[in-house]
Amino acid sequence: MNLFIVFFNVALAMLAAPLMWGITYRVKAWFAGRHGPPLLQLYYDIAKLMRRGCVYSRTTTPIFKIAPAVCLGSVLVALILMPGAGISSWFGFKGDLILLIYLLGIGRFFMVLAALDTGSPFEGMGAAREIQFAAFIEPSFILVMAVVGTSGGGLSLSSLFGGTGYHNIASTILAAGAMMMIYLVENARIPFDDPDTHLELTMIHEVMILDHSGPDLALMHYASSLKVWLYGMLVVMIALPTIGLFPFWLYWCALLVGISLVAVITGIIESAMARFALLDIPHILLGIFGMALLSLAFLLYR
Amino acid sequence: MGIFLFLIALLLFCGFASLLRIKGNNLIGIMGPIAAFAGGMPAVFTMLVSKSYIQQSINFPFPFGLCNFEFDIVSAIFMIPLLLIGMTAAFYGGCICKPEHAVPGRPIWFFFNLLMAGILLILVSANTLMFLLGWEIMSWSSFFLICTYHRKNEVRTAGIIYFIATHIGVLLIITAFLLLQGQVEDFNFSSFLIPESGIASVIFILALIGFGAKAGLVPFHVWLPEAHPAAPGYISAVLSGVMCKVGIYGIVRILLLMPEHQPWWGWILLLLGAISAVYGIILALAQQDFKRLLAYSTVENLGIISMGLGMGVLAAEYDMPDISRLFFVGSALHVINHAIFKGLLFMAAGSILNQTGEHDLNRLGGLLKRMPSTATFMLIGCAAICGLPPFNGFIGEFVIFTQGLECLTHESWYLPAAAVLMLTALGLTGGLAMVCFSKLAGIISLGEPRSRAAEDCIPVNPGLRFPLGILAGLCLCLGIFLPLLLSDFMAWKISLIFIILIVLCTGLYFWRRKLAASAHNRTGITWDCGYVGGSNRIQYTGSGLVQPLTRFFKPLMLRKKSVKIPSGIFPDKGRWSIIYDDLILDAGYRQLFDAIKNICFKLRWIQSGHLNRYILYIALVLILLLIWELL
Repeated sequence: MNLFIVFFNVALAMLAAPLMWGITYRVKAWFAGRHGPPLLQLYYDIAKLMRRGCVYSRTTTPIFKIAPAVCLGSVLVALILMPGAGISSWFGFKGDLILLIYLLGIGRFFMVLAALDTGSPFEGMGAAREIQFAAFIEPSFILVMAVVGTSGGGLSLSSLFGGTGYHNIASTILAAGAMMMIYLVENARIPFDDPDTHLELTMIHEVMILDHSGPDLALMHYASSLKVWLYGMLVVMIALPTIGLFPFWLYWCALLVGISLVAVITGIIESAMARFALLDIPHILLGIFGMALLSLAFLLYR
Repeated sequence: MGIFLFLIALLLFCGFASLLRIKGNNLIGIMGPIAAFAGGMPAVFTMLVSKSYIQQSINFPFPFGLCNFEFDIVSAIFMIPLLLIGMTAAFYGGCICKPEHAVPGRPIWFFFNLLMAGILLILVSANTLMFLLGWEIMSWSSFFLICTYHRKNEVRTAGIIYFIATHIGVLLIITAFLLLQGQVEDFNFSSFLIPESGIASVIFILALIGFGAKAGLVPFHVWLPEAHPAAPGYISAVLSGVMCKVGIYGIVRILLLMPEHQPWWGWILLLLGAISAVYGIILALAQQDFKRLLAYSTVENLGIISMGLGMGVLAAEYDMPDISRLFFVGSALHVINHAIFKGLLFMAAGSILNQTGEHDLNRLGGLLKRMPSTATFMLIGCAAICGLPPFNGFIGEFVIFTQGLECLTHESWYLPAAAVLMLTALGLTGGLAMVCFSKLAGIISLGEPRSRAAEDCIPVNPGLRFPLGILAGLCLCLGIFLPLLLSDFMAWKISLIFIILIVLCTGLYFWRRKLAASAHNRTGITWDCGYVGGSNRIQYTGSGLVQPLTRFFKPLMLRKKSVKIPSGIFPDKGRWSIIYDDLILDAGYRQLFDAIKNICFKLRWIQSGHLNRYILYIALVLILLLIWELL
């Protein structure tokens, strides 16, 4: 049964993850009064890129080619740790939430290395900003994971379902809010990063993959969409602890709907807000840390 | 147990023999650490595998009494970095000290063997005198090793700072041992009395400062970022990987000698560790000299180990013995792992410094193409030190993290608070370490070379790659297989997940290569918006990469900015540089020592040089003593 969970988690993520991109962009287009790209646009893009050849810079080393594989591989391995339908993953163990954070770190490390590998000042700039945000967000992510681990007991990702529901409503709301913010930061969305600006200088994540092309770019896009899915899953599970009590099939439908809802919220945020000033973002990230800390404090000292 | 006494004698013999003016004296010096590795490792493994933790002790008759030597599990854990890094560093040094580099009157191997013998003596002695003898041998020989390039001014400064720091430290350590000793006749640890709690706290504080100065805990770390860049790479590997750990060993030994601990000792260890970790990594990422960067990262890692120890003490005080034990296990794992990847990084840094002559990483770049194996090993070391799976840096931090989460469920007020502090500090350190080491790896080995020296450098000889290869291989193997030793978790799943990760990433890489091979691929230049006049100088530098963070953490560092703006009708070259220095050294200790120096200068009139005045002093002292006696 636990192996089935792994299978379902990975299969659903691999099939549905690029859809979330489409939903977010549809919402944004709807707000702007445009028709917007098809929901399946990212699937088309990936399929097209897979057939194309690559353009490599003479500066690059094998690191540049290894990075897309590592980015995708590490997210897939992170996905096999996730529990589902009230049952822990077969790979789950005590402390797997720490491993999850570190697994997501490998992808980032290699993406930054690949960006520096091109020797492009744009990509260096993107890398500088990406790792800065990542460094500030890491303590918040760990504290949110601490909330998850202690609220359900068991100190593992399966304790996302271990809680008997909203036994501490303030803590849950704060943790879900913090996790939503972490989702926006780590996936390079407005208000922390704007993937759709027209200047390379103003992007963060998108500029780091500027020199990737063909199958490399496809793997990078796919890995990013899986990352969106993974963080979306965490947001849904933290905000809705009772999801673990749902029947098996209903759970997967609820998960899909929940993550789509997160994508819709992302679209609404992106339409309603501008990006924060770059120099203010560290302070806002400290604010997210405050949210996570408060959530943990409510849980521990109630 | 006896084997270690034999090895100490052997190391001393090899050290003195390397001084002889005979052919192959260097070879004798190199064979010492290698023989020590071959002889000592079986005993260490027997101890670790048997899991009996039984102390083996020997009494050795010396003229001043019976000295007790003991070999227990703690000694065994710290023995691993000593023997392993000692062996690889000796091998590396042996390959680098070719005749044209060897300058007479520089007996590196004498001091190297002496250093190893001293540390070995510290690790096995259960006797105050022997411990302090080993400590002095270690301090002196490492001083001479740091001053290898003594003709350079900054090396001499570094040596003097180290010399002062280590001797203030040893003063405190001697005091601590004397207090612990009390009125007991012989010097063996086993005959120590249990001190009362007030004295025990004084002993702990003295030992913490004394040993902490050796371990490089903030604010006693100031010698470390000076000494490590001054020494040759393989010496820094031993200093950072092994000698700093001896400071941690001292703290652990003192904790073990005193059966009753106070909770606030744990808090102090935790706080010092948290400050060291965060402050160390912030300064590390701001450095431009890559050996200084590694030195500050040593401060960070020792901070992590100290946090683990502090939480271990705290958890034991709050009746969680299992969790406390695992905190110590996590720290021990990090001791071993840090020695391996830091030894690797320092030796790789030494190779890069030798080949390019540049110690500023902003002037390097593209070394993965020019020195492929060294740069690859350095990349592995960087990934390992960030704690990234599947390398060995992960497991120690993982154990400490997980036990920190366990502490959150304790019903008292203090332990969860300590755990939250630890989780935050460790999380922030982890995030910043990622920045620091993506800078080190990315700027040095990737991109285009930023200077002529980096462009023209050639690979090192194969002998120098071999020890790096061993350590890099250990980073990967230990990363995968160390979790299997932890029976407390289902840690075999970590190993399994790591193997899946490696297989999956390799599979994806080859699948991607196959896809790309079937299509039409081209090579070109990096995208630069169509502008074709780009030079290597437009690349992001290391300082640029971390600028958002150095800007944020500016209050914690001393910023030295020097700007020269080109001016005049025919402007010459401009300059613009920012160096981030240690606030604690420059604004703290330097001020303090300057103040002491000023006071001393003001009192110079006492030493006038006139004989009659000195006789007056003697008379005054005698009169004072007389009055004292009469009162």
